[in-house]
Amino acid sequence: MPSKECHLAMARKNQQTLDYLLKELDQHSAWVATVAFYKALHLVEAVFATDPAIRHGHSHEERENHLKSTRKYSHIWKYYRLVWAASVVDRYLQDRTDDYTSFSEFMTPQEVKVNLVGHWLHQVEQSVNAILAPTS
Amino acid sequence: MPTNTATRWIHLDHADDAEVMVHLESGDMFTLPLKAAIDACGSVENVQRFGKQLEILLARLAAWIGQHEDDVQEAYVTFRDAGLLFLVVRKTRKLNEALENSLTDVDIEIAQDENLCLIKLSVLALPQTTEENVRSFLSSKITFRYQHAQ
Repeated sequence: MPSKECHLAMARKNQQTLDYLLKELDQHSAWVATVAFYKALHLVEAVFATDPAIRHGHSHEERENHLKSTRKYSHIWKYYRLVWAASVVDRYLQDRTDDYTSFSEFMTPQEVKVNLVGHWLHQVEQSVNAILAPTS
Repeated sequence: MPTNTATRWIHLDHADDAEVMVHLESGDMFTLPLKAAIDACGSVENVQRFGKQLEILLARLAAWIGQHEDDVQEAYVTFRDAGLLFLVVRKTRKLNEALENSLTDVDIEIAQDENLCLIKLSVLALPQTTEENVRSFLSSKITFRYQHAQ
């Protein structure tokens, strides 16, 4: 089972990819949503790795259930779910038919940058940092 | 408490290694470990409890739909391997953050409700999309469709 440090390292790698994609946001806003989701996932797993009652979310559903049924993680879930939902629109609706052709109909590139990355993902990260911060 | 003197109690103890012999009305008989018999009794009770909790859940989600019918085209509760999915299909394609936040709130409320402890629910709102796309999220075996969401 990967450690907290391992998940945080993966989250940093996802951030590097985000930084790269954000330079050409208009072209890659849908991918930004998906990479942001995977960054959020690793941040959550870093927290779980330090929680003796959980340790690891074995599936998306199990991870989700831990987040929303545990009061101290509700704030993370509130924003994690938004990032997840946007990534579902990207991954499962975007290319399936000609009818729904563009993720930007759902969120404009600017909304992806400001809301998804700048607010929702940021909120997940802030909450995770607060939980992982050493208590003195 | 008044005692019914006609009641004959049979105590089943999970710590007991005994076998149970069951005589059916048809005349057939079979045996099974006592522990399995006790687990089967628990399963029946859980199935009944799940049914009641499902009724509460469906009513609560119906109320949620009623509050958001301006942007809800269709809504379903479908069975998946790991639990239930409340799938909302919106009337519009643009992100509706207020609806998403409200969906998260009801999701957390249900997950933390001890009266719904047997329910494992996920929630998802899809922007307006094709029937084929919607179908790909639904179980072909068991799906409830909310009729009043038009």
